[in-house]
Amino acid sequence: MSDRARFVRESLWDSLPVFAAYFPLGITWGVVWEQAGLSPVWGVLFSVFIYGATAQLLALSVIVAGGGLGSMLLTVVPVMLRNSFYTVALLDRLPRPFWVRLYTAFCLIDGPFAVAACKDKETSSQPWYLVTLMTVVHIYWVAGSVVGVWAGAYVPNKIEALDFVLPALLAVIVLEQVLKLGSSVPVLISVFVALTMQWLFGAAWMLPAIGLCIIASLRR
Amino acid sequence: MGAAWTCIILGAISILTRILPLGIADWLGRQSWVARLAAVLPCMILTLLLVSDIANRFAGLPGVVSMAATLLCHMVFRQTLLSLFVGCSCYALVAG
Repeated sequence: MSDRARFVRESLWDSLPVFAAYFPLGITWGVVWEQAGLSPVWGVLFSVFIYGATAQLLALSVIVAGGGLGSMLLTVVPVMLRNSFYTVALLDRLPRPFWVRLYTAFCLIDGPFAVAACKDKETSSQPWYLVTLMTVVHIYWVAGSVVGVWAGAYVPNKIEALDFVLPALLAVIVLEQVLKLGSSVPVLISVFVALTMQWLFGAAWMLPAIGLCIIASLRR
Repeated sequence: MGAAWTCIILGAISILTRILPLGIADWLGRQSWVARLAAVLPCMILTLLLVSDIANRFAGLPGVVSMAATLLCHMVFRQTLLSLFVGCSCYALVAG
């Protein structure tokens, strides 16, 4: 077996755990998007070009809440910044030529980053390994989204329980973050900030709350 | 803000935030504030949105019980899809 085939096969095998996580999550994203009454095409394009579960869900929350550009940027961009560090961390493994390097950098989100970072450097530096991994995980995510927006159209709008999917998903992601951080202090601060700002500013509480969270993050 | 503009703007930002570090990796690595923001801010913003959702749409007993069931299930099994299924089923039962 050639080296190329070996690396592609190894990459496909390593991508299976990510498939188990991302394909169902993509379906969930698609259903939530469809249930929000938004165009299925844009739901899929979100997955193609924004490509990040957390950022996409945050954006959807802001759209549903009727937030403006300022709220959108302040809410979503800080989350997207996290991915910049994935690029920095794997900079010496990203393959050339340049356009392949760009695509693999774009595809460095949580799942593929975790797989690539855990793999030995010799294997994960191989272009065929890394490009295959990034491409198939991107396909898993987009395919899940396509299935989700399609399935979402067949789910009756009157099922109230489906409204609960988005907060439940947010809660699960927050829990994962707390477990990863090993501290619930940021969550407690956020809850306090959210409740206080809602009490002080009413419906326009989100922007000042995000501002306070940024200050709290920087002072940590 | 509509879905189309959101997709275009955030798509461009998404691409930039992941590709720009290729050009400024050394500089970014020296900025301590970037690391501090990336460490906890996503978690804090997600919590704000969660509180907003619960306070505005799921403030009653069904919301609280279902959220507890979701989190408990996730702490035990760590399976996102299962946790969502349990949370939504619980909400349907309690609210129904």
